[in-house]
Amino acid sequence: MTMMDGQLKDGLNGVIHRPKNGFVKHRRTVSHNGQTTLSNGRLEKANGDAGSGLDSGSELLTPSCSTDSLSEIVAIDLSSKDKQSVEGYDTGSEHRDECKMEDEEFEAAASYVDVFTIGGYVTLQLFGYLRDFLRRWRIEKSLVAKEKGNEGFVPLYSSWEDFYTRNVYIRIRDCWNRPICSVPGERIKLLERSTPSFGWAFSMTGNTIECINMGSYNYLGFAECFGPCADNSIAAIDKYGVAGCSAREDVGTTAMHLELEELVARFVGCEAAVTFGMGFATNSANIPALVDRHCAVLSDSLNHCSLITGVRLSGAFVKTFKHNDMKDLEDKLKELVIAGHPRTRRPFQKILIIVEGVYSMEGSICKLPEIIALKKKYKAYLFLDEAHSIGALGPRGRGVVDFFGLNPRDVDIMMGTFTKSFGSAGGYIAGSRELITFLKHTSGGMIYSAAMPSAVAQQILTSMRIIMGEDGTGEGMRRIRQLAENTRYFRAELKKRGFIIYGHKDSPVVPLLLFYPTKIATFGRFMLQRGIAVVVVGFPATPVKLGRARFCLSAAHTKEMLDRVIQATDEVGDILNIKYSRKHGPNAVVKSTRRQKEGLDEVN
Amino acid sequence: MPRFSKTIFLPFVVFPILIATHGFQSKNPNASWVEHILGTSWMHFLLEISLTLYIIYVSIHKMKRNSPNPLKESLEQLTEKEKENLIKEWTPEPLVPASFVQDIEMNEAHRPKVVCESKIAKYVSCNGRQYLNMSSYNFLNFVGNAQLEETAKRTIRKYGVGSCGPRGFYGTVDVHLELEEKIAKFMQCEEAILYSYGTATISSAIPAYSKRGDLIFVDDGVNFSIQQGLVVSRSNLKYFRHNDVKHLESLLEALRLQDQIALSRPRRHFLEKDDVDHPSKRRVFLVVEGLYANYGDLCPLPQLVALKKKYKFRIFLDETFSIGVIGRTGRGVTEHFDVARDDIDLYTGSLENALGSTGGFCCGSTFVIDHQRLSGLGYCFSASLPPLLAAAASTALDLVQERPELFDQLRANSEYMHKELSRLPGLSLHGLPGSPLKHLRLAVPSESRQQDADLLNRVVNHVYTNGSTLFITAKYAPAETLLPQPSIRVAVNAELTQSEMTSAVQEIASAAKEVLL
Ligand SMILES: Cc1ncc(COP(=O)(O)O)c(C=O)c1O
Repeated sequence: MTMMDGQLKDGLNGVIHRPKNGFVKHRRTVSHNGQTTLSNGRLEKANGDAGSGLDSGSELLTPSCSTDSLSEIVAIDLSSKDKQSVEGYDTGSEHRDECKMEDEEFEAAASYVDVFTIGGYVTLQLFGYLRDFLRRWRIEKSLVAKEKGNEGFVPLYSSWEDFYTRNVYIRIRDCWNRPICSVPGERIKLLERSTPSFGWAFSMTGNTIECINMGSYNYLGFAECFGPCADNSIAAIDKYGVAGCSAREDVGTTAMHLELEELVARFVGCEAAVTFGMGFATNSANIPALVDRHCAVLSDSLNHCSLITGVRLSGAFVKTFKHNDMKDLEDKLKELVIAGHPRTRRPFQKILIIVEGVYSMEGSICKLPEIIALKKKYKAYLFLDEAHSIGALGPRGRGVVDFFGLNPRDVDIMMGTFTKSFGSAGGYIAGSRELITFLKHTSGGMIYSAAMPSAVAQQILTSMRIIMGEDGTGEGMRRIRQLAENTRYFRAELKKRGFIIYGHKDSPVVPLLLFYPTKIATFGRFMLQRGIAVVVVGFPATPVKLGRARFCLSAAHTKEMLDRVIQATDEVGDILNIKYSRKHGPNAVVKSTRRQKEGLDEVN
Repeated sequence: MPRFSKTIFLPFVVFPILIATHGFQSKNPNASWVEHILGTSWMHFLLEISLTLYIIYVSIHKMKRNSPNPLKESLEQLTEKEKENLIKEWTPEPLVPASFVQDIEMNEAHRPKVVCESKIAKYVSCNGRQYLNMSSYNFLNFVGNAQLEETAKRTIRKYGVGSCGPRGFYGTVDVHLELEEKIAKFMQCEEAILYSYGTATISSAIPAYSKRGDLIFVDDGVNFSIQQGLVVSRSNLKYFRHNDVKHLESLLEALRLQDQIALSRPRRHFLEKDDVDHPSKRRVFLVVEGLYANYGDLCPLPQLVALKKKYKFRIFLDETFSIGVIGRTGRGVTEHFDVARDDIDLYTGSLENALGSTGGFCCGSTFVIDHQRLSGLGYCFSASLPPLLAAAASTALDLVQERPELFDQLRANSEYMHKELSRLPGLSLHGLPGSPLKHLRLAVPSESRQQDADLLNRVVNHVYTNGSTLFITAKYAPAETLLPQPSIRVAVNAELTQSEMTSAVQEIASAAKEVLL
C-alpha cells in the first residue's frame, strides 16, 4: 500500500488520492489534500476528503443515469405517432415540459461506506453467533418462543431462517410497528411503548407522543376524521351497513360499487374499471387471470411483493429486468419474442410487462413513454401499478400517465390502490370494457372475496370527486399543487444539506440514504425524539448496502412542518454523519476546499 | 477477438517468442529447479505465466460456452434482419380471449345479476323489489346491526377511514391490537394476527411456513384461497379425496415407508443432508377446512388429530366459514368435536362471514403466529385493515359472547332448512344438517357441466323473477384445481323465522318443479 502513497491515480471520476494509512476511519480525520482536477467531462473536482475514499472506482453517477442515454435512443425509435402523443402533452401546462428523466438521481456514496456497511452486518452476524452460542449453553436466558407439543417433529423453522430476526431485528424492533391512536394525518399520535426486555416484548406506558407524520401514505391528505369524506362515509354506513358478507359475483354488488367503478374509469381515462377490497389482492388475484404458463412476464426488479405473488400464481415464465433500465428491458423483450418459451420452444402467447408508476422504496418514476414505445414495437401488453402514483402525480393527479401526458389507452391494464392518496382501502383495475368484463368473471377477487365495504367505497367516491373538482370547489387542485410544491421544496432542501436523496424530483416518496444498519435504528429513534415519525428500512426490504429512511410527503403538511422536519433531519444528520452526498451540500466536490473547511468547522 | 486469439495469436505470436526465449534457459543444464527458475529469462517466465493464464481462460470460456443454453447460441447466429422478421412475425394472442365475453354472457344468461340498493341484510332490495336473502354469509344477522354500525361510525370520527400504511409503518392502530387480543382470547390461543382481507389470510399464511421441498397433504375440496396459498408456497402437494381419512392414511403410510428407506440409506456425501426434501429437513403439513365452503360439511378433525400424532405433521385449519357458526359458542370445529386447542397448529378465520365486517385473522401459539409478522406477505406488504372495520369486528365478537343463544337458533334453523330442502324435487342436498351452508345439486347430473349449471341458474332465476327470495348459484373461477359440481348455495340466517323459511322453501320447490321436472 505504501507504494501508492500520494500517488495520483486516474479514476472514473477524476483524480483520487489514496490516504496514507489506506483506511478512512472517519471523514473528519482525513486531511484536505485539496488537489482538484478535471474529471471525465463533467467538470467535477475531487479532493482528498472522505468522498474519495478507498477505491478509485467509486462512482458518482448511478446506473440509472448512465442508462438515460440509452433510453433516449429508444425514444428516438418512437414512431411519429407516439412522438405526437408525447409532444401533445407538452403543450398542456407549464409544469409539464420540466418533467424530464434527468431529474432522477441515485447518487452512490463513497465506497468506504459500502465496506463499513458490510462490516456492520458482519459484526452483527458475529455477535449473533456469540449470542446464539450463549443461549445454547444457557449462559444467556433465551427469550425465543419455543414450540410446545409436537416433540419429534421436523423443526418448523430452520435455524438460519430467523437468525436475523432473533439477533438483529429484535434489537431495533422499536422502530417499526409503532402503534398509533389517532387519524394518520399530517400529525399523528403514537402510543409510547417501553421494552424492559430490549425488544422482546413491549408494554404501553399509557402516554402518547404527538409527532409530525412523515410515514403514512397520505399523499393528498384525505386521511381525515371530519369534513366531507368522513361525513359521507358515515352516511354510507347508514345506507349500506358496515359490510355485505358476500362476494361481488354473488350478491355483494351494490349500486355504490357500480357508481364507484364508473367514476374510477372516468378518473383514469379508461373505458371501464373494477374494484376490489384490497390492493394486494387486486394484483395477486388478477395477474393469474391474465397470464398463464404459456405466457411470459417481464417484471421490473423492484416490483412490489403483490405483483410478484400474482406472477408466481399465474405460473407464467418470468424475467426481471434491471430497475427502470430500458436497454435491459428491450434486450429481454427481444429475446423473449425471438426465442419463445425456453422449455417448450413455442412462441409465447402473450408477453406482459409489469411496472409500477412510482417505486415506493426508490422514489423513482417509471419511464413510461419509453416503455409504451417498446411495448408497441414488440407487441407486448403493459400492466401499470399506480399504487403510489395515482392521485399523487401529474398536473391533474391522475398518475404517471398524466405526468407524462400520455394516452391512458396505451396502457393495457391500469392498476392502482385506494390506500394511499384516497385515504381509504382497496384497489382497482381499469382498461378496455372487454378486459373488465373478463376480469369480473374470472378473477378470484370478484368470485370469492368479500365486496368492498360501503364506508371504504364512499371515502373513495368523495375524495376522487374532490380531486376531479366535481364537488364544485378548487380543493382538489389545491391539494395536488400543494403536494407538488411540498415535494420539490422538501427534496431540494434536503439535498442542499448534503443528504443523498434517491429518486425523481417530483416523487412524493423521498428516500434518504443511511447505509449503516446501526444508523437506520438511531435515525428512527432520534427523529422520534424530535417529534417526527419517519419510516426506516434496511435489509431485507432494501439491498444490504442501501439502508434508508423514507419520508412520504402530504398535501396536508404545511411549510412550517416541513421546515421543522428539515431542521431536525439536519440536526440528526450532523450527529450521525449521514450527509454523504458529493454532489450537493457541504461535501459537494465542486465546492471549494475552503468552503468545505468552514462547513466542517461548523460541525465541529 | 476470441477467434483472433485462438487462430492467430497462439501459433504465430506466442509460440515463436516462447521458442526464441527458451534458449536462455538451457545454458546450464545441471542447475537445480530453483536455479532453473531464477536463471530463466524474465521474459520467458512472463510468457509462460501468461500462457498458463490464457489456457485457463480459454478452458473456462469454453466450459461456459458449452454448458448452458445452446438455444441462446443458436439465437446469436441469427442476423439482425432475421431477428427483425421474427419479431414482425410474432402475433400475440389478444389479452382477453376473443370469444370469452360472448361465451360467458351466454353461459350465465340465466344467472341473476344482482345489484343491491340497500343493506345486504336478511332482507335486501334489488331490482326495485324486496327479497328474503338466502345467499350472503350473514349467518348471525350482523349486517345492519345497530351496535356494529354505531361503533364503525364512532371510529370514523376518531381515526378516519383508511389506515394509510402497512402495519409496520404507522398502520398499527390501537383498535387492531385490541382486536387481536380479543380474537386470541375468544379462540383460546396465545396470539392472533389480523389481515386486511379474508381471502388473503390463508394464502399468505401457508407460504410463510411451507417452502420449496416441504410437503403438504390437502383435501381436494379445499377453497380457492387455500389453493392459491399452496401454489405460492411451491411446496410438494399430495391431494387426498375429500374427507377420506382412509385415503389420507394410505398416503401417509406410503410416505413413511419411503422415508424409512431414505433415512436408513447411508448418506453418500455430507451435502446430502442439505437437500431440502430429505425427510430430516422436510416439514409436513396438513391443510383442511373446518366447514367446507364448497360442500357444507365438516372435516373429521378427531381422526386427523390422531393421524397427526402418529405421523408427525402439523395441521393448518381454515375456519373461514366455521368461526362464529359451528360449535356450542361459535368457536369453530375444535369446540364442536371437543378437540384440544393446542392440537391444531394454526387456525385461520374470517371476519367477513359470521362477524359481519371485513378482514381475516390467524391464531395459534406465539411461536407459530409471530413468524407471520415478518413473513406473512399479505400482512407485511399491504395496508392494515381500516380501523372502522376492526372496531366493528371487535363489537361483533362481544355480541357473539353476549348472545350464545344465537348459535342455538342458527343450528335449529339449519336443521329445519336441511329437513325441508332435502325433499326438493330433482335436487339433492349436500352438507351437514347442523351447518348453515348448504349446496343443492342436481339429483341426476347430466354429462355436461354447462348444461347442469344452466338448469340450476334457471331455477334460481325463476325464484328471482317470480318469487321474493334471493337464491344464487355458486360460482367458481376457471383456475380452480378441482371444480366442484354446480350447485345452488344456500346460507341460513340465525334470525330467520319459521314462516320465512317455509316460504323460501316453497318458492324454490315450485321453481324446481317448474324447471326440472
Ligand atoms: C406497488 C404496490 N402495489 C400494491 C400495493 C398493495 O396495496 P394495499 O396496501 O392496498 O394492499 C402496494 C402497497 O404498498 C404497493 O406499493
